[in-house]
Amino acid sequence: MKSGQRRAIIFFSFFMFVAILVFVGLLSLRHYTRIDLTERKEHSLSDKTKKVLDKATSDIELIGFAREGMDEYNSIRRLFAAYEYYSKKIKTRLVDPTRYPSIAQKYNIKQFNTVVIQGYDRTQTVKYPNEENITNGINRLIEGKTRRIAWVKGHNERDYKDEKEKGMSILKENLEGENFEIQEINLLRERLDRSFEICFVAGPEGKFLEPEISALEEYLKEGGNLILFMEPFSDSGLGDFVKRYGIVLREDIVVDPFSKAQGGDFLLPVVVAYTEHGITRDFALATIFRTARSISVDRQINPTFDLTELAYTSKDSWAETDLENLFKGKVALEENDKRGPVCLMAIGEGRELPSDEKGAKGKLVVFGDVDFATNQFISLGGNRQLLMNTVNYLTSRFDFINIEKIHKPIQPLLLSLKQKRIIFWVSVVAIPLTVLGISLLMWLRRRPR
Amino acid sequence: MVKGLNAVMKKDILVMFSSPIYYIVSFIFTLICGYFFYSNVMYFNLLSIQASSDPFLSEMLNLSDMVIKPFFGNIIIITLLFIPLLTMRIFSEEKRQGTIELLFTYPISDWGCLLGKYFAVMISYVGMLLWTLPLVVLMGIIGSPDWGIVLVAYIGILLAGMGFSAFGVFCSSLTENQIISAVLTFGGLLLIWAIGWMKRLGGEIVGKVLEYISMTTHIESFSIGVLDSRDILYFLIFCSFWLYFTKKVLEQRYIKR
Repeated sequence: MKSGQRRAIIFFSFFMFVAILVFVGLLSLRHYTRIDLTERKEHSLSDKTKKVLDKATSDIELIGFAREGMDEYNSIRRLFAAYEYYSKKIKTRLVDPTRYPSIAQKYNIKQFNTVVIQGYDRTQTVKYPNEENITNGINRLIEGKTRRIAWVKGHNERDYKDEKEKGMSILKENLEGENFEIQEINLLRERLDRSFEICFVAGPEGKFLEPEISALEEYLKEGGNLILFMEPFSDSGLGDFVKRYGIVLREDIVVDPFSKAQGGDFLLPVVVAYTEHGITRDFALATIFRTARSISVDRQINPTFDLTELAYTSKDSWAETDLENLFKGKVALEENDKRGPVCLMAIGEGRELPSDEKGAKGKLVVFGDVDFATNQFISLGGNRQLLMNTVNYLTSRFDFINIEKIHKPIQPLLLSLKQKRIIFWVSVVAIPLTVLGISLLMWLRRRPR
Repeated sequence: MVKGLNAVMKKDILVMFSSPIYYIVSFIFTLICGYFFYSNVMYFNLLSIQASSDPFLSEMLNLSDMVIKPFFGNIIIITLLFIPLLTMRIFSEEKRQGTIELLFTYPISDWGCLLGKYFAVMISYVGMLLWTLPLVVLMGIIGSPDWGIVLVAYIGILLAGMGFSAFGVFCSSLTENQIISAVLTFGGLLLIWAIGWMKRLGGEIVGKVLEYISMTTHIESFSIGVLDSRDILYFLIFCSFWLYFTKKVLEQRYIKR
């Protein structure tokens, strides 16, 4: 055989071999197996998630928005890998918003570590992408139910369509991102029924009439969720209504010198402490309010309601009652004032009662302010997250799938001086010297003489 | 059985163990591994002390995350530095001494010769790796590591070592100078290790190809305790490619029929 022919055969066989390897590689990407050998199956999906994924009948895309190289990027990637492995219906991709701002803009991504779930001609946005939240997002997408929110009007409330500073259009966008549909409701003409998962009353200025208050009462009785944003000094007649459930709206305004120290105003109280509750679980961000009133709870009034004060200002703040001097610019803590920490947010949760007993099954959340949720303030600190956590908590019992988080064991290692020395001598001295000793012996025996 | 594989392998192991290079490499390898192990454990111990006054930190204290994973991550990098020293002489020395032509005239198959040398390197590598086992036992004494993660990490290190060795054998077949062979191996491996970082510069498809070629992409699953057939196959494909390439290079240059 001539050398030219031989070379041609070598090259041909080489390229054929490479082609086979490429084919095998591509095939391995399509058909693969993953075995999670960690003790707690940290990288496997729970049975509840698997059940949800089994319901999928068409493709669902998970788009993760995170900054490349960050820990969150890697954890989303690993989570996606577990979803993709279990279900062929799940497709995933990760987008770094700093590299692809147009894609981030298309999905209205305002913060890193967000997952958009897309499919069934709908989208769901998940802000804290862990298995529980993603699975719930997928479940909502598959179920396809648009969740309804009632927005009470007729008392000069803040407008959710208003894009100006005092409007609440940003909150509306966030709610729509969670598959909510907002509908204005006039309590005198339309019925507030349980098809609305939440009812918002956003800073009413006008007085509520008796039939309107009865409608709210009936809604709570049926198990509805009511969120009230109550500005100080606005007598809308809802003070007595919420008092029936044990939540007391105080006639004062919260003064916070800490906020002044941070370059703000006395009347911009900062919430720094939260009670342990489903809404505030793992929540550590400060929230900024504006001209807020204090709230307190009285558990004696309505024993069928579980009451919790949720958010507090700093202990340096107080609830000012001397408005005359306040508006003259004189602020000082006096005897009549309530000393901080001052509560600005409370929740009352009705217990499930036998049908013959009176009481409400619903949940009532009261904020002592509305400004913190407006377009001007919602993006500050943790305001938006506190609101969305509240909404998610209130609507959770409808379809929420609770997936237990895998907790890695906390394994502190406290070594005595003796133990440290042993570790040093074994790892850095004894093992290498043993290798050296054995090596010398072997080499002396085998070296060429 | 590939004809002559055993004979070549035995011969190369004997040559390897007669040379001081292997012993020095083993000694330095265990010394560096021991040092990294000790410093990881001491750092974890320091964090454990600090955590007594910081509840947030105490929640992060996990032996697998803070000692085992970084320790095995270090071993892979050390392996990348040391494998070129094991493979550099495998063909280069034969070429320098002029014994390679003689080798191919023996009644052994081409694959027997090539795989014999490759397995000799692998056995030497495993011999080195075994010295890290006492450190893992020590880890088991002082704490409760996740043994699943340890097992998968060892499989990953072994597969990575197979890939590094295959590339090293290839580089050794290109030159008769051992230093050049080692430098080529080290440089090439480093490039393949980090080529995925370039994915940002290419388009989507080029990015995906570079990401697939990069070793860092495929080592990750082993570091978190997951056995993924895609990553196992990647290393097997990597080995097959470079060994086959080596055979073709040798065929082209030395085999005359």
